[in-house]
Amino acid sequence: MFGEDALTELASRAAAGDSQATADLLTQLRPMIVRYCRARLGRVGGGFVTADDVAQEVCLAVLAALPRYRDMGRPFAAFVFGIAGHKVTDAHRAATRALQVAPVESVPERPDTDVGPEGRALAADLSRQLTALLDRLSPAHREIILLRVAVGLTAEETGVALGMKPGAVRVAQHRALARLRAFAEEEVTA
Amino acid sequence: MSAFDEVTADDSALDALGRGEAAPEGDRLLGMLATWRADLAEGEGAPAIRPAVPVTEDVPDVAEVLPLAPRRHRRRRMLVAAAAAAVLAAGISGVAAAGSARPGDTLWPVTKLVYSDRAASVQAEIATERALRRAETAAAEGRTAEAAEHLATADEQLGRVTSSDAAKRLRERADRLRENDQRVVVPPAPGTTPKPPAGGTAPARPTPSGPVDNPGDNPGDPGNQGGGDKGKDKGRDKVPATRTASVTTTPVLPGNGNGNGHGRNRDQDTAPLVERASPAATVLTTPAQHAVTKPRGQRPASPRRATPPLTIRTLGHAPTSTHTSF
Repeated sequence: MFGEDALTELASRAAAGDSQATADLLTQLRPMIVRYCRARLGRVGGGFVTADDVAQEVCLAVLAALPRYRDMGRPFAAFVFGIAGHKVTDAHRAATRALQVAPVESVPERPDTDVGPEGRALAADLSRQLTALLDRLSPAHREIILLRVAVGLTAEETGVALGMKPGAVRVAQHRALARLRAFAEEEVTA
Repeated sequence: MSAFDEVTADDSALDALGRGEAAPEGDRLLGMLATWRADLAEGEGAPAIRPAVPVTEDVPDVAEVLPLAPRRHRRRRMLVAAAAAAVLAAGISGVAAAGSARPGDTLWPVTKLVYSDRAASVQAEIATERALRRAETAAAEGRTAEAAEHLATADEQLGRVTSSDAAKRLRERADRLRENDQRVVVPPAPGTTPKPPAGGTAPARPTPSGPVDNPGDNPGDPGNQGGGDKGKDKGRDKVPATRTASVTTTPVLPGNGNGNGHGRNRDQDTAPLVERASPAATVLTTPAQHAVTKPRGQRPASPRRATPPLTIRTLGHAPTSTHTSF
């Protein structure tokens, strides 16, 4: 990807009011943010629409927070994915609130819980399987894999974003991968 | 491979996956991760966002459009005002037009509501006309009693006509009818005609050619000085009373009643009085009483009004307006 310095330097110029730098920054950031949100939220209701909406909110929040960003030795990616993490948590909370039980007069119709042919095909999908595997990881390990693979941050950037030393990130990601392999073996044998 | 090497290998593999590169052959987990990464990047090639550079070309358009909006507003407001004015004008002219509406017209209800006086006048006018027409028809066919009755109704209705033109026209018509058919209308001429004997002798001599009295032509007639049609009606009301009195030989007779106006029903008049008296007496007693009681209150006070301008010989069909016993 692009260097940590490049992104941080772009962010410093954008924070100073350079509109061209802001445009470039967003162009580079957005795919990362979208992948992050999609990885965290998955296909809600069969598509990435919800995740992309959250990603859009993250982009807006980053833009709004940009004037407050000062280069203080922290990589900009850590700044962005701190925001993204909070936004995704907010989305989860909102979804939880929306799911809260409300008294209704009649029992609503329920969707068919049987997956059906298309659902089975999708479940057979590798990425679906991986999502199931990732769900079994601890939250810290899952976040590391997510930032490293889905977003494409380096071990150093991931460490800054998560408040870890780069070495600790490397050890943790190794353990996470080992655990995923073990889960995958279980799936195959099961 | 040492533990450190494994960590480094995984780190570089994750770096490659993070850059979106394909997974190395043979590693199932890394293949899944690569597929997952590609799945997440779905649709990434599409134009992500609009450039954040401020757009300057569109600004003139906006500046051009903005002043147009209020102008369009003003035009709409003017349209609304024009529509309102049109509706108002239509309403006013409709109400104004209703002033000349007649029964059966579309605007007649409006006339009744807004110009109730005029509506009443128009209705009286129509009633007068109808009565006159009937009187004319009846006179033409020889039903004199009926004609006189209708003529009386016409006079009564004529009093309610406020429109001077219509009243004049109708009065002329009524007068003409009286002139044309002298047998229908008998002049009362109270001052000039001799009083009938108040005794039991009925006025049996018919005077077909009795002087015709047109009320307007008789300035000396005190009954006319009140000038009202109602005065005429009132006066005529008394006629049957007078006649009845003479028939039934009731001594109570108004002083100026007259019995010489028998122009009409000559056949009836010439019939033996006894025969006629028996049925008529019972029937006409009421008017007689009416005539007796009435003068007590009114006659002495205003003798002028009491004089009947007309005497109509209508024994069986005296003006019925007050004769509820019929």
